Amino acid sequence: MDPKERKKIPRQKMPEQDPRRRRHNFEEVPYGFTEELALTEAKRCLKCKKPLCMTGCPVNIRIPEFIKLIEEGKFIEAAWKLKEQNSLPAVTGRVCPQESQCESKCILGKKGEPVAIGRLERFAADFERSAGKIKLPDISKPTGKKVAVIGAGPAGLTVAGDLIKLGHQVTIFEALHEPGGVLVYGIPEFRLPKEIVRFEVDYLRKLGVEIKTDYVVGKANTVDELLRNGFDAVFIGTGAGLPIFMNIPGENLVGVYSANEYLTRSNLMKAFRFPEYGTAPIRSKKVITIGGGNVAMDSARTALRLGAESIIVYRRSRAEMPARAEEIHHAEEEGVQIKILTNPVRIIGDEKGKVKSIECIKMKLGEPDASGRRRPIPIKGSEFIIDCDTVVPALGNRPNPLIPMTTPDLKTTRWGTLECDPDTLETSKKGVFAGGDIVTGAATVISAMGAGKVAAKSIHEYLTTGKVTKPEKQTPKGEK
Amino acid sequence: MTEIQLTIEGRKVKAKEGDTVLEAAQKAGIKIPTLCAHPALEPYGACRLCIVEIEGMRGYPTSCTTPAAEGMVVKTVSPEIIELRKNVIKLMLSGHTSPCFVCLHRESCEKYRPRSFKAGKVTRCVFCSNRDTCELRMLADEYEINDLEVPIIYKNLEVEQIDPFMDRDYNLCILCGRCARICEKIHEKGTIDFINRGKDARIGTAFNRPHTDTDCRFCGACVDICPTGAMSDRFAKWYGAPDWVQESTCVVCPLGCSLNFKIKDGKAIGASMSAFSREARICAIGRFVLPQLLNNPARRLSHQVRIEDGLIEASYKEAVERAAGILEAYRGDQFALIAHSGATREEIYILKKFTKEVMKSDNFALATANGDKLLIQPASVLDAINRGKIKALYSLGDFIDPISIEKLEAIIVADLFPSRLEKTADVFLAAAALAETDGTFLNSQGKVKTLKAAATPPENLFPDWKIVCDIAKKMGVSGFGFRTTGGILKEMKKRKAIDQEPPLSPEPSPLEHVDSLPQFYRGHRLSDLVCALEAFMPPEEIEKKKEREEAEETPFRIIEKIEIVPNTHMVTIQAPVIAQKCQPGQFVIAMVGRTSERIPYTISDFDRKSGTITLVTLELGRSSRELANTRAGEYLAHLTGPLGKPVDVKKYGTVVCAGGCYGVGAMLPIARAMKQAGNRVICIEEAASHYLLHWKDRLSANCDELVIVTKDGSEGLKGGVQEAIEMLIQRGEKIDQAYVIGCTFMMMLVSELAKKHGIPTQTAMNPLMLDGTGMCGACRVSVGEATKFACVDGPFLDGLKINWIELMQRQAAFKTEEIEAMPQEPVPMHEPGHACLTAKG
Repeated sequence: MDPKERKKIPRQKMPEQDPRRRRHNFEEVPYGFTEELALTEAKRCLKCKKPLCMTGCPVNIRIPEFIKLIEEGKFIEAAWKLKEQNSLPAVTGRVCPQESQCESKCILGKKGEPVAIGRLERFAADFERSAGKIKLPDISKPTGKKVAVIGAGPAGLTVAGDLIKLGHQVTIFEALHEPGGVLVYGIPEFRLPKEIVRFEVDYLRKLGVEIKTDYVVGKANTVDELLRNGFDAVFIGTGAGLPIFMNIPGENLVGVYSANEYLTRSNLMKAFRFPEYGTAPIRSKKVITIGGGNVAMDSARTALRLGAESIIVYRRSRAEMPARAEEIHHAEEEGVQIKILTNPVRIIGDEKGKVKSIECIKMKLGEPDASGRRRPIPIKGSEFIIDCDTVVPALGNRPNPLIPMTTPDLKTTRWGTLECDPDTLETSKKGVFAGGDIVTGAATVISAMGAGKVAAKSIHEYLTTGKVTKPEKQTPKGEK
Repeated sequence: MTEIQLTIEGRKVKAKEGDTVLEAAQKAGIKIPTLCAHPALEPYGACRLCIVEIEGMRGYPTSCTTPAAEGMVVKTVSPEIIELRKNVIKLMLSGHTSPCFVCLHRESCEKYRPRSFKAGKVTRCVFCSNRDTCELRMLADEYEINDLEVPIIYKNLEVEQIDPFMDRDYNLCILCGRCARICEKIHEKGTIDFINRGKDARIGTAFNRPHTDTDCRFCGACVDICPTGAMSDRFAKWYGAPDWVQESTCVVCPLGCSLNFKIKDGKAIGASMSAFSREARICAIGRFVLPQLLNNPARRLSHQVRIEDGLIEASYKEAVERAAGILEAYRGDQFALIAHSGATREEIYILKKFTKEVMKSDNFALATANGDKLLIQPASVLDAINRGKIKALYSLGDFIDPISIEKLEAIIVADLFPSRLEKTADVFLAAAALAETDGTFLNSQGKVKTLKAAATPPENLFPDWKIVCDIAKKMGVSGFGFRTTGGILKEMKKRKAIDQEPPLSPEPSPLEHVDSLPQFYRGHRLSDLVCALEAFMPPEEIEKKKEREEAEETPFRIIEKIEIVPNTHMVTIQAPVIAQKCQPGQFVIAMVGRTSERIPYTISDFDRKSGTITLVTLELGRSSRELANTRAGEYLAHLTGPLGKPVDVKKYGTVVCAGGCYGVGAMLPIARAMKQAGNRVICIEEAASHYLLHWKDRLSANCDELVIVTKDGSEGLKGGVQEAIEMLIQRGEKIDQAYVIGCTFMMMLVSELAKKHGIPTQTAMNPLMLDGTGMCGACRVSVGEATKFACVDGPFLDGLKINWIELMQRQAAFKTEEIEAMPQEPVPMHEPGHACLTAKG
């Protein structure tokens, strides 16, 4: 097929659940590509000699190669190709912001729409899983080295997957009762079915990764003790799990839940299946979610599914919203209302200490601030009240201080993140590496996985040579 | 009957010959206190509260057993009578776990804790589901009893949760015999009676068998007539006393029995007989199952219409419009409607009229349950469906099987529960029913019974007659503009459309034996919806049950499980990592099963050598009950720890460690560490009464002085921790640091006192938590100006600065859900060796 013909094919849409139906259930929103759709979409790829898409991928997936395999109908082989670089393709195919990564670099995107790389990735991974043809990669000879990975989130799982293949012995320590980190407690079922996470984690187990759940490093054991007790290197991937509140009056009223709590109840604890599951769901009539990121979208969409009217309040304008365009679109399609340029001032409670309303103020945009986004300025006298019974601040998270607090020689920044060499992800402590949100502050799943790959490479070098060399050229990081 | 006249309290009172003095007084509006007496029961004379003085008679006869006689002069109140009655009440309280009556803090306790705790065993009033309606309590208050000279005895009888629907705690029984007498009166041969003698006398079944092994019909009369919390309705008990009661009719089977719905916050939380008589008998379905149907977690609470993808939630208007639109295309004999035998006369009339006049069809059928079979009559309708003659069906329940369903083109369902029809239904209308509707019902005795709408239906749900009328109106057919069922009945009368044949009585009668209880409602197998019915009829899905039974092997093996004192459980668990690292004041998070909540428990003891930790918990709801019901040799699904900050162990000087309830265990490691750090340690153990004191030996061994304080003064000082601290201050003790662990209410009171005296006080927080590592923020506590996370900044926080009211409000955030989460399955008896071991000493 010549490129001209390829360019004529339109970008294939992924069938998805009707918003009128899905806003009341926790089933996954998109159904995924059918074989036909995948074959058609794969034909759109021009298989560029210098694939720019790969420069947009934090984990360097060989994108044209896996798409070519799909085009040839070798779906399982495509999945195996993906797994050479990415141990969790079914996850990243779903939650990566492809529009600002690989797909943003696709040459087709210059004039028309880019190849749906994410959808194809998801298709291949799902195909492999449902076919049950899981190929275990060749694992190098045991090196006799032991690595402790702290936190079974995207970064930790990636590090574990890469290092086990290189012949090292890997143990993951996870504080919660289920591995997956934000993939199980944060991202809702309707965006990432937990069954998929469980499957990917089981794959790592099959590779030989040991996972100790219910294990809080920093409490049950410190990093120093791990190093003393037989681990040759430690990777810290504990993420950003300390919710930020706004410090406005009324934040401790009954009915104010951090997005972490709101989502964890539903996702990890399965409160939507109460009373079969013991954890109580948050039943509300009207939920105000504060924030404009993906977590705010997840919370607001969960609120709909729990039977509430759902409103997002965001202080800047739509253009500044950090959430993925697709998530905002999905949320609105399902019936989430978004009030932009609106900032909460205080939360008002009743005599029983329960939320009854929230007072907000209108904002306008001023000059750009340090983040490059235009700074919101309150408009005096524009205060107004919205009645509601639940408020969910989704304002982001700070790194969990547990490990830095219990590891004295680990240097942290003033934001509480770990100081690392940006190229090797080595921390200030010998043999200790870190990656993901604990280093960058709250970011994305794929950036954590990208960091996991970098760290795994450094750890491997450290374990085999005793030192870590800085790469000559900077690894492409996706965004400039 | 001759009328007689007597004088009561100086008033001339008329009575009938044969009346007792009590009856004569009651007729005249003169109140005499009673407990064993009940209007539905024969005089008994057991409780001796109704004693009076009668001129010419010696002593103090009981008015309930003394016949009124002409010219009698009766005194119902005198200092002697009052004194005697007080003593009677006190003796009853003595055997009734009553320390709350004599507690110095009762008033503020009831203010801050308006609802009782969901305790497994009632060890005092604040743990009793019957607190608001306890007749003994009301009498004690009326007689202003706030001191007992007699000891309070806890009988330590096993709480019986083995039977469906009801819990029995004979530790609260005052032997009034009302239950046994009403059982005999209603069923002729009673199931329960007094067993044993003397101090061992109690109520029970013959040979103490479970009620399921007797001919108990589970009519619930014993529960409803019990003046105390000894017998309780497992489903309804924690909702509290009903706001009001409404007489209505049960329509699940053709008997159409009268019953009273108990309404709380608009919900029907219970039902009972309309009178305590044999004639007013009801079966277990009426008494216990109806409320569980209306409040069932499986109940459909929204209307749905089909789009390409499947059913989606829709407004009532949308659903009605869609149904009307679809039915337009199916007029004539291609339409059928299947109603159910539990519909009211008005509903049946409207449904028939709709079939005939709107749909122009003769295919109206009625589904009735006969034992474990469903019958659709006339059979021709089902036949026609199976032959493909009928294309559209309006069904009021889950009556036809998938093969028949397949033959249909259009399906409209009006129902309460998920149904096999949903797979292909075009419209699902969630209906209001049972206690939520009114109308009339022709029962099998040919009597017209009345239904009253007592409970508020879920938002935007309507009864079947209204749904059908709205569809008919939407289809543009007149004659369906009814606003009330009264209007429908009027038309039925006008059209002479009410000469209906009474349905057949079920044989054998469900009133006679639980084996013949109705098994279906609207085609749904009741045992699939109400788990306790499994005792009488097998549910369709047995797999679910199996899943519950199999507990997986995990590293967290339970080494020992003892009930130390009533309702207080000690669990020792294999957890070497936690045991190795834990410090005094730290906690763990446990999930007993894979579907359990994550619940924090303070570590009460640990053994680094054997790698075990010990938790002490009170059974106060679903999750703590799961832990309390574990056995040695079983496993916890998950256990994480140690979490939280340890207490700051150093030399302070004099350290007070005070604890109550679960906190008695929790203060042990702190006391031990403080003692080892060279402090003078005074431990204060608080309990409601002597029978709840425990670990005195363990505490004594780890402190310089152990102060015991009980709310009833039955051992040690009388009062709470604050009284003990006041005593210490008064004797000149300088307290340099205090650690207080127990319920929030107690810690609040102690902190108030500590503030007054400027004692640095650390209190152990026990708020709601999810992860326990700082991630969810559910455990936020306001400490002064700051917000602290109890899980990472605590659990010990500065008691002098805590916003206690906010903390209590936050702890109660899921009060309703916690009640709804209470398991309804019967619990097997504790095995021997796990029975309550009351540790004295």
